[in-house]
Amino acid sequence: MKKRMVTGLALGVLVSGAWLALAGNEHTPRKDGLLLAAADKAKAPEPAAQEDDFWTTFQRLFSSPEPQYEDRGPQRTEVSGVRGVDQEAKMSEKYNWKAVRQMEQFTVTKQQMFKFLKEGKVGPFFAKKGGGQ
Amino acid sequence: MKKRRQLGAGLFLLLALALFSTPSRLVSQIKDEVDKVFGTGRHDVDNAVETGRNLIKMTKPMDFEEEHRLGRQVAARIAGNFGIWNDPNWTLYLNLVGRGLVPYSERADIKYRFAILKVDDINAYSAPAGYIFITRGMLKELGSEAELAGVLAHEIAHVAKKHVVKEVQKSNLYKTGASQAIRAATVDVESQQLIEKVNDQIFDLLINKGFSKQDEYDSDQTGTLNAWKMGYNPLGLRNFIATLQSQEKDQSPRMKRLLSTHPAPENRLKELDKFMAQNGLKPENRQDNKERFQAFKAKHPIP
Repeated sequence: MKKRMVTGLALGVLVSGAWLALAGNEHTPRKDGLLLAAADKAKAPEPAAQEDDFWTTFQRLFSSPEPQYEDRGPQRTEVSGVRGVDQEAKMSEKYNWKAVRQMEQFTVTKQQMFKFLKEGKVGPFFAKKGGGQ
Repeated sequence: MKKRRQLGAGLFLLLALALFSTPSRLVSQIKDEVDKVFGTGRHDVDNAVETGRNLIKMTKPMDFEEEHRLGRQVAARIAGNFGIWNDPNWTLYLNLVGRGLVPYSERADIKYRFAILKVDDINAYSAPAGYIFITRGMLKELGSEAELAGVLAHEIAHVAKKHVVKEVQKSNLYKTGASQAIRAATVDVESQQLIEKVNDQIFDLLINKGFSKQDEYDSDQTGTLNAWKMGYNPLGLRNFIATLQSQEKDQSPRMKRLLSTHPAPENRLKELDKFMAQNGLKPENRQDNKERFQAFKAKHPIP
């Protein structure tokens, strides 16, 4: 009797597990900035050909400042003692987190981009000229 | 008794595999049902489910959060190794061209950032999740904005096509636990060491080994196509590779690393020419912006 119940239960679990796997899972991306791009993945745009598409993508990606991410890299304080100090200095040279934060916080305004593209006749200003796309 | 244990073990394995994507509330309901059959405390469903979930996670493709964490670390390593040239004018110019290219990429849903490395070597690197570097030596060597656009579009293509991510996922280190360490909410010393080993592998791939020939040809082609879509002369990247070819015999130490980590320029040109001919990418009506680039170079000399 018990054996039958176990077999039935196992089959039930398998079927329900497979159904849930197909239906999707419960994990939803956190809204903390880091996963916003992942959340947007489902509606990834086609390469922009029109001016509107270009500026929509530009605004979405570059007009808002990036969140301050946690510097999750090799720890500089995991060792101690005189030898530790040397290792800490070595590690600090090896990983330049400040440079990464500068890259992330560097901003290009829409005005700067607009002027640059217009003067260079590229991007949406190239498409406007009807250069044969 | 032995038979019953075997049955129980089999059931837990089935549970572990079947419940990997099951919501937690259902897991607890199923646990209750198992309790009814075997009696409370006669099994360890939690561990079985956790093991199953971990097994599945290891075989899942890397998600963006993990790629981003990895990319930041690799970027910090590249910046720490070479140093950054923080010239505000050139950094802005680089970001204008680079970010202008992003909407034409097939992966235009992530942020890309661009910086200049303080070295005279001629090279460019891309870390996962959109951290892109070009050397000061490369900027000196380039002759036009179309060439710069071609090089940056090539690096964007490496990120868009996840070339580093795919290499990492192939490694045994990743499969045997580094993935869990990268995903973990808090990192202990052991996990930290594991992550550092993955960083070392990626650094070695980017700096010493290089991508596969196919990945490089792929990035040459995609980069050229996207620069062309933006309105640049599709010969930009081609011209730069031709420059490499002409200087190959000189064995210049400045391009030694670039040549050793990429396919021979002759082959790259051959593949790229074939692609441009097949796709009708022609320089007509496209911009070189050579004058603007040269004027900028003259106004902001590169040391």
